[in-house]
Amino acid sequence: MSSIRHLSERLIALFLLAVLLLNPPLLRIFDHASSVMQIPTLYLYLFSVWGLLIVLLALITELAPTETEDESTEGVALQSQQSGDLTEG
Amino acid sequence: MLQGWVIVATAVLYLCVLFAIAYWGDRRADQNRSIISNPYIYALSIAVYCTSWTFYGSVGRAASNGVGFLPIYLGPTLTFILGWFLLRKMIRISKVNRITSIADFIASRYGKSAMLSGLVTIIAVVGIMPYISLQLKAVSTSFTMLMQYPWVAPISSGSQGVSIFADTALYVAIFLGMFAILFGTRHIDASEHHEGMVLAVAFESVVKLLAFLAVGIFVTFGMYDGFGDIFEKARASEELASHFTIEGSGGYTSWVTLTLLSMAAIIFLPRQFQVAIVECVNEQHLKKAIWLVPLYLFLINIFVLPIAFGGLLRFPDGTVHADTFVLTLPMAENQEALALFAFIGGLSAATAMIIVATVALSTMVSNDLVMPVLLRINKLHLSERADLSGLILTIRRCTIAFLLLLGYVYVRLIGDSYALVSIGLVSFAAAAQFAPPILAGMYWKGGTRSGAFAGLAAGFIVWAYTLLIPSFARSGWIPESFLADGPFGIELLKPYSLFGLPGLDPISHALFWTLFFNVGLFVLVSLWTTRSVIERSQANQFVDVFRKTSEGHRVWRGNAAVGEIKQLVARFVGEVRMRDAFERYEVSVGRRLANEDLADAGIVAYGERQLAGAIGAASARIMIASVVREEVHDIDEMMEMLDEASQVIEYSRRLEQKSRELQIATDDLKAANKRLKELDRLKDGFISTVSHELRTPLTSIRSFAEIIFDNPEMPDQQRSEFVDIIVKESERLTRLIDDILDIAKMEAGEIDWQLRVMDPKPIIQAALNATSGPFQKDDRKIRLETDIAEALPQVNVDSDRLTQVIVNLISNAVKFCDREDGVVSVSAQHKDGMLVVRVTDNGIGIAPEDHAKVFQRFQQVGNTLTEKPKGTGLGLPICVEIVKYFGGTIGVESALGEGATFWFSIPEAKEA
Repeated sequence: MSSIRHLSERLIALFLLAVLLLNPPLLRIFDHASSVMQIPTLYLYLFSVWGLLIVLLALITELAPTETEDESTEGVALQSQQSGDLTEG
Repeated sequence: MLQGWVIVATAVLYLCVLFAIAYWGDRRADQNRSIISNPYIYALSIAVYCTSWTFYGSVGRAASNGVGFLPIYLGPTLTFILGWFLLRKMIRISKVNRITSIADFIASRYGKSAMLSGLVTIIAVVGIMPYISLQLKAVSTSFTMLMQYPWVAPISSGSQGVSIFADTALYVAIFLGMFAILFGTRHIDASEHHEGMVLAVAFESVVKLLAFLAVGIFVTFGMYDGFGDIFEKARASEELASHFTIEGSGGYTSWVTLTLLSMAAIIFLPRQFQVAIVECVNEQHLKKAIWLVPLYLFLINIFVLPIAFGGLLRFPDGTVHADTFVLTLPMAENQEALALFAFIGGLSAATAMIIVATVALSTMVSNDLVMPVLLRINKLHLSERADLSGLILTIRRCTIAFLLLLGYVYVRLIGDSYALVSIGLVSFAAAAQFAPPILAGMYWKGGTRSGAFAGLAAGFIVWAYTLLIPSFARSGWIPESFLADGPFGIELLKPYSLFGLPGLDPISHALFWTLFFNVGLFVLVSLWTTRSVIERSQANQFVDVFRKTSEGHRVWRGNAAVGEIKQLVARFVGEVRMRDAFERYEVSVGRRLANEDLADAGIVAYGERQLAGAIGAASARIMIASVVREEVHDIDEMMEMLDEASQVIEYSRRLEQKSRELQIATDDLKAANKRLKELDRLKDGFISTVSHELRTPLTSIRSFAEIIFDNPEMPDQQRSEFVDIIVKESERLTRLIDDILDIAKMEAGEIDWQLRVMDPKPIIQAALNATSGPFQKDDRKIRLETDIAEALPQVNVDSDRLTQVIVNLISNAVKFCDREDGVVSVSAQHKDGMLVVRVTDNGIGIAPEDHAKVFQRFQQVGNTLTEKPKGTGLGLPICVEIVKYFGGTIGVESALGEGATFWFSIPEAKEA
């Protein structure tokens, strides 16, 4: 239970971080015409932040346990119902 | 040399592969060996977000706006970070309620309203249809471009110059229509899963990604020397360098707007809802998908800027439209195979979108628009027909054909004009209208059907006014002056600056106003309307979907037989499927159901959900209601109803209490009134007594004065006797008036009390000193005995007033004590936390029945007619007032002929 809550809390934190990083005013810091290693600063910043966010997102979700005790039973029940549905189709 | 037939053959071959894959996927599903049941296919199918608008259009936008296209892909990343709550909840809700489309979702949340689902369907169709046209257009344009290989020539006239039969868009439309009908409407599925279609779409996502990456790598590393090289060359050009910043590429407002729009679009576009929610087979897949989807978007965007700048540098004269760079760059470099691959990539992007969008829309049109209407038309007797599944499928197939036809006509009519280029964002804005009712619906139980309807309708109208109609104006369908001057020249109604709102680009402007009206009306109307029972129950089911099921505790008072329910389900999903479904149900509840059994709540709910999967919640509700004749209540609902009832009871109880209180208040008032009348009477008595008391001394003063006046020869001795009387009477009069003023002030509370905590001993002593006169002067013999205790308690009093009390009592005692051998004794004690002062005389005493009387005003014991009054008759009443003010009591102990003891007690002052 605690791990699933951690997952939720971490994702919310990541979301807030992403919103901050990808919007003004932070964006303005990198919004000028200079280049870093020949690549415009803004492009480099945006794509690095984006890539970083995806890596963090992957880490957070992949490290979380796959099943959670509280919801697992419900989830399994639902799955079995679904697979039941599939036989229909 | 790329031959025309090669292109056509490749395209047809590609589409055939698509058919094969979809067919295989469906076969596997039929055999219950699902191929799509893994997170990768799921994530790839969500990548249907990237249409040809991404494939070709991103580069186009980048070429004119620099990095301005990026928020369209950053937004979904943000949404997917929250996907674990948002999408999982939506998926769970959809599974539990058998949601088949976004219209179904909204309608189901707000009490399974057919009106609402109809409205959502209309918004979706009107909003998405042009987007479908855009895809057809992209395919035909790219085809025409490629056919000219190796000439890179601008397409000027679009499809208008081409005859209908030579128009690629038509064949593409027909082909895709066939595909969507074959794999999207194969049968009515209770869960509305189209595994073949999903598999094909996932495959197409791979193809378009690979194609785009191939072109990107070729441009970046083949034509140029890596990313740095392209950007450095672009920097050399003044014009292109402005694209390096956001300021130079649309500004921050549009950045934020696009982020918000795309955040909504990734789940609320009907096709996204279809693949992400409806087609989701297992919500555990979401966990991987929430980072796989952003990763896909990241990959497909890496090369957008290099291709855009590469194209701008390669075709500096601007003859080649930037939207076609993905295709024209390989062509210009004579890369036949790559150009063909790019074309196939664009084709896959377009077809995937068209297929999913038409299937999603057709489901909505049939379930949420047409069926509810048909079912309500009693003349058709539809609800009595034996098998309706065929009818539903027919409706869906017709809808797909109709949508594609409409899309094609739209392409022919609008052609190359403005409308198509911007239509992607216009569609996004339409889809964003679904966000408030869905998001609020999942987390706020207070939203009502009327609120959702009002919000959606208002948002849709404003959307049409600020985005759709202007796009017509730009295409020349209606005069341009509509945009420049507003309709009929009304400035305030200019579609791009509604109500005079300046300084926003059209999309931001529209997003602001649509959401302003949408959210505003939704909240306002919701707060001022009440929810019906079914709205309540649905609200609970949606908001509390993760709570332990409420389904187990249904309360049911209907009277339908199991057979009736079964029959109903069979009519929509077919006999075989129905039997399967109910056999599963019997297994799950562990008992057999006879057809003539009374259906319990579980069976009815199960039946309704089976129906909902086929025909949508709104229609299912109508159908179920036609068979059973009672509302379905679950425990939650019952509790709420009970709650409502108990509120009413509580209310009436409070009403009763109020009226009781009112009664008490009335009684109090009556008593107060009575007392007032009494007081009034007393006051009258008081005044007449006062005037009487005043007149007595006045009369004697006047009489003696007259006697002196009339007899000037009066002997001196007698005269001075009379004058003495006049003086005494005047003094009495003065005392009387002083006393009256005193008591009046006291009663009015106008006395300035100087309360202080002090030792009473000096006060008593002072009072004794003040009264020592009578004891000495008077001819009568009166002894004063004092018994003052050593330790007296501190009291909180006004010293002057306390002196007045003691003086009054002593002078009273002096007046009434025995004439011959008068004894007055004063004692002061500390008793039970009180200061007790007693003044005793040995006079005639007071009869017990007169004890109360002596404290009243102008009441003197004894015959006032025969004896001259000895006091003003106000001394004791004044003492009463003063002692009362100090918090003490005053009293008298006496019997006739035994003297009298007046005493008062004042509580000890609390130490501050």
